[in-house]
Amino acid sequence: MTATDVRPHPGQQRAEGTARRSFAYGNEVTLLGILAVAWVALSLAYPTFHEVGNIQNVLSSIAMVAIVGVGMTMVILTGGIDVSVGSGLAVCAVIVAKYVLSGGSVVVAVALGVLVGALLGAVNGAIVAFGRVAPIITTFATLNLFRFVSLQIFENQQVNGIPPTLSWFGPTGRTLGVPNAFLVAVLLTVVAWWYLKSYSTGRHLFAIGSNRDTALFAGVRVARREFAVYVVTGVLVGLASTVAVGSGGVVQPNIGTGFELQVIAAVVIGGTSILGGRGSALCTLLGALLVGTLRSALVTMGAPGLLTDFFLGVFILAAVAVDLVRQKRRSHR
Amino acid sequence: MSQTTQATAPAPSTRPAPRQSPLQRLGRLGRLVLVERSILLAIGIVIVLAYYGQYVGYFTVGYLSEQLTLNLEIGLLALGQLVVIISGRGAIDLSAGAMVSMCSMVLGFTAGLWHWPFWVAALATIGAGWLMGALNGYLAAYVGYPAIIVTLATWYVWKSLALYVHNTTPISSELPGQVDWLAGTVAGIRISLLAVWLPIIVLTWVLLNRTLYGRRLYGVGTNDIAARFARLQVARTRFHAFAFSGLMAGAAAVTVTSYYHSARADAGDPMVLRAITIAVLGGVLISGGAGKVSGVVLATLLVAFLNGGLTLLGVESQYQLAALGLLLLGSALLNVWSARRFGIR
Amino acid sequence: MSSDTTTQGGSGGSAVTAGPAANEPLLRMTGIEKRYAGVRALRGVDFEVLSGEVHGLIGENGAGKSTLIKILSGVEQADGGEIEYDGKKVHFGNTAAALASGIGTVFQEPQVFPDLTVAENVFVGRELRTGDRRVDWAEQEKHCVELLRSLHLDPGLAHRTMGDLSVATWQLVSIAKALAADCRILILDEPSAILTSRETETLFEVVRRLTAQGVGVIYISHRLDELFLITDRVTVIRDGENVATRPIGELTPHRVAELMVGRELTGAEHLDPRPLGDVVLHARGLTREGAFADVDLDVRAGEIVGLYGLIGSGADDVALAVYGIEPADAGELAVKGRKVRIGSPVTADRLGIALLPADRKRQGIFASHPIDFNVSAGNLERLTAGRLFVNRRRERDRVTELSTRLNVKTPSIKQRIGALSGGNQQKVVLARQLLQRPDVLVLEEPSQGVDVGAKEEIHRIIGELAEGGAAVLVVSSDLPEVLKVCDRITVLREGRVVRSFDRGASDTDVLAAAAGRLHSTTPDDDARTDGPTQPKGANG
Repeated sequence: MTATDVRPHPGQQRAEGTARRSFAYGNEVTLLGILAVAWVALSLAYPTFHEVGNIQNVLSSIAMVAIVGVGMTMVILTGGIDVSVGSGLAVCAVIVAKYVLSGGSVVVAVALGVLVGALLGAVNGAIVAFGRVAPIITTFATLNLFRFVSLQIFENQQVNGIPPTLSWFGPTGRTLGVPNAFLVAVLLTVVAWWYLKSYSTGRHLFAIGSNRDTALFAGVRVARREFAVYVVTGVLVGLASTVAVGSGGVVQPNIGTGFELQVIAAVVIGGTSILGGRGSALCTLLGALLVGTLRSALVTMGAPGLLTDFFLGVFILAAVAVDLVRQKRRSHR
Repeated sequence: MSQTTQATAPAPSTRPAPRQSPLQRLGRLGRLVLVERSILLAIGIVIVLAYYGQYVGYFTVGYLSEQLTLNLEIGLLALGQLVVIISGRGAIDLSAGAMVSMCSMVLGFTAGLWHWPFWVAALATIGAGWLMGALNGYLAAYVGYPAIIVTLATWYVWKSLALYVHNTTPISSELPGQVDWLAGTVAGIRISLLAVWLPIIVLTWVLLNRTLYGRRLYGVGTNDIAARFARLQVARTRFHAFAFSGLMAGAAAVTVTSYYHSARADAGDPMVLRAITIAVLGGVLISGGAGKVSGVVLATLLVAFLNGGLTLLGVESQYQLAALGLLLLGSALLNVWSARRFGIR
Repeated sequence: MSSDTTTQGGSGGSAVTAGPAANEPLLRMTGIEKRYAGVRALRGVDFEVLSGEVHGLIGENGAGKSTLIKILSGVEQADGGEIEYDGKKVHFGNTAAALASGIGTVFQEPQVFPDLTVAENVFVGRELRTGDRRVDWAEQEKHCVELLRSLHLDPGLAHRTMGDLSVATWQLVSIAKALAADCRILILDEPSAILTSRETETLFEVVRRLTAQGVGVIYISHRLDELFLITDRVTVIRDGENVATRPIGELTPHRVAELMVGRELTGAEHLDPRPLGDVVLHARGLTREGAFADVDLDVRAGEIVGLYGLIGSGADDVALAVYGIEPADAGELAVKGRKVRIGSPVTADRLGIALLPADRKRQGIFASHPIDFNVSAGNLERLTAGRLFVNRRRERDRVTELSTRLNVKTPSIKQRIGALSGGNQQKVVLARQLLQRPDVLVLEEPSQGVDVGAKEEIHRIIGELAEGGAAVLVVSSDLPEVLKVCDRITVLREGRVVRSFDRGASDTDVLAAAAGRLHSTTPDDDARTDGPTQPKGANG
């Protein structure tokens, strides 16, 4: 889905836009502003909102989304998409849970999760990058294939009595009051942000999403990069699964259902363009925080739990609308 | 008037074909099979029928028509996906299943709780589906949202709304008796197949192959820049494609509610993947501008008969999930490969 | 094939290693063959470039020069023949290989990343690194600024987003990119098409600097005046063959044109004159900001008026304004005496105006569909049965009739249009315009990419259409075509009408009007301040 719509005619001039900042994406400030306003407003209206416990809950709840969001950002930057992350999460979670249940160690559990995730990601990556099948179709298919695999491993029942081996990743695992999982997410986000900014292979992701043909021509190893981003996403899904397993004694067969939307929502609300070529890992983290805030706010306000996704859907449309307006103002197409 | 100038007979564009060896002819036949998706699917259907036909109870009108009925809604949604995907620019409708769920609740409310005459309620349901599709179409075609984003968002909007409006409880006993009419059978074949599926297949075929709209749709999907020069109403054509998908969702809601005598908010949950699978299997290209009703219908038959065989052999339902996923991947890869090798078909 | 090039000089003197011995060509292509679907696009072409030489490459559209360049830059591979580069036989399997060997290409349509900054665009794939392999932003920016300065562009552009800038700036940035890559051979494909004269001067400066360092430059251009200004030698390609390679000093524009076409241009070949009717299409002061300004036009029934200009002259935009795709901002338009505002193609169609688009592949054909689909696509309103349905019998009759009349070579009207030759495809798209029997027919580049035989046919058809009473506007950058076919020629340059000619005008005069002065480095030519386009470069 490259944006090579109507090419401008030779000789046709276009209005020169205003100068943009060179490194910051520009959205970070806006998002921080909205977050700040939202928290202040909600805290004033609902005093329970800014209780430490509530804040910790929010941070903990978005950790998984933020972790996978890093990978999803990279995938979307290249012009792709991955809707199989929820099912991938289920596969990794059930394997890790069963391993931990059988008395395994933390280190091996994490390694196992990451490895399985990488494998799943490699399947997606191979089909998209080398098979050249559209990402939406590929990951739609693997969404169900992976879910099938997970159900097989689950043997159609939930995994019970999981020991607290991975509780470091769970809601009770905290460092200086901040949930560990969230710290992991922040760390990964910073690393990704730095990588995308500093290394040519990171920059190449933007190039691929901006104009795949030109990238090919310029000598960018497009297929390799495309393959890599799906593998990275898989690795992060594996990592997120350790957070899921560490969050309680039970893992259910329907784990991860709807997870992909939350991740994509975070990325899109953060301002990364779904068409590829523009975006930021930092903004995805902020987007995830916004989504977490929205959910918490809905609960606090007493909104019906069934409508959470409804509001999320509307929120996505609103966020993308902002991006659309900015695009339209920029070009005369 | 320039017929006289043809006297300088330029070389005809097809030279007389040289004699071909049997191997060459086989190769050409093979190419034809791969390129003409309908032939490939027909062969697949024959294989499946022949294989499972050996098992008792499979090869009967009753059993086979029942398999078709189970896949009726998916077949309808697949036709909706066909139209949307043909419209081009990577368009797809991820919200189709959620629209079915929502429309099912609409039928439940209108026919069940508000006691509207059933046929009025059914029309309202279909109308509601059209409206939901129109929303997708408006946002995607006129406002300019990428189709994936729009339909992903509306998927969750309708899905959660459907659960909310009756607090996840199905509406069943309140539904009037006329609901069951479509679920009745005639000579072992469900009425819904005859009264809904068949007419819609014909309607869609006529729409795509005989109407002006169909020409516009294929033109817009193939090359929307040339379509602009040819005045093919690009935005409007795309809008109606999404609305059509909503229409199919509305119709599917009526039949599924009728079949189970129950309006459920999760009615559409498993439908989207299977519908898209069938569309891709049927030869639709994600890039747009290509796809035929015949392909989609044959793909529906193939999937229905294949599932019927698996069920008869007692294979668990989740394997059908896996089978579908693999089928989707396989057919997508085949699409990509043959489009590149043989030019778009 | 990693592109880990270390830092290098930008525009300043850099270490271009001494190549082959003085008179040994830097590049030699021998006997190059290329086939597309059974058609020999290149038939044993020989081509060479010396170190420090500017070698012009010229030929009609479809003659094969683009194909030759594609092979050299690695986009395509030859079916036969050899390439010797720097004394060694080479084969470029892909573009990265060619690039890595030092062959840089600047394409006619700039290939850019709209979402990245200018500096990034220049260095993608050849990023400058710091010691620990991170991207050295500071160095890149510094080099980019140097390059921009050497191209007389505002250094502040370095961190502007590409998508915000004009197409001409894109072209210049593409040139900067090629410079940054430190090539030994630089291919420029119609580089000045969208540049102003001042920018073209800058381009020439750059080219001269490069050749002084021993770089071999291949300069492809339609603009005969530029070839005479900048090249040392010229190769003329015609019908897939190298028909002549001569030092530029031995040639004249007229001779080059003759070599391109393959026969003597006596100027005597012309369509017969015919009686003219009333003015059908009338335009006064037509203006669209950024494209053209103050354009006056009058086309009578039975008349063939040519709108001639080199690529970038705005002629194409005038056509699109008349057809309503990109309407004019100001000025007066009248059809058959009635004042009109043409805001969309639907309006144009209702007024009896039809347009044959310039780029048939992108704007004209629906490649995977049959001939009848393609013809009726633009005429659905006229082929209805009961408002909703297609009148298939009428469609079949009209398509067959037109297809025969235009002599489209095909076994059936159900044949996929993508399988036809360029000339036949063009006829099909033309048939689409003719189905409506238009009063005004605007033809953009009517015989571009069309073989000689079909070209003659198309020209004859244009004459017949005019004889039938249509008012025909031919917008073309093909000089011999315009001279042959048109009763009057209006020449556009940089968006404005500069001169009009009647029948029998000389090609040199028309060309001179379109190109500007033939021997200019004087600044009075660069009167962009009153032009329709905004001043670029220093004010960018």
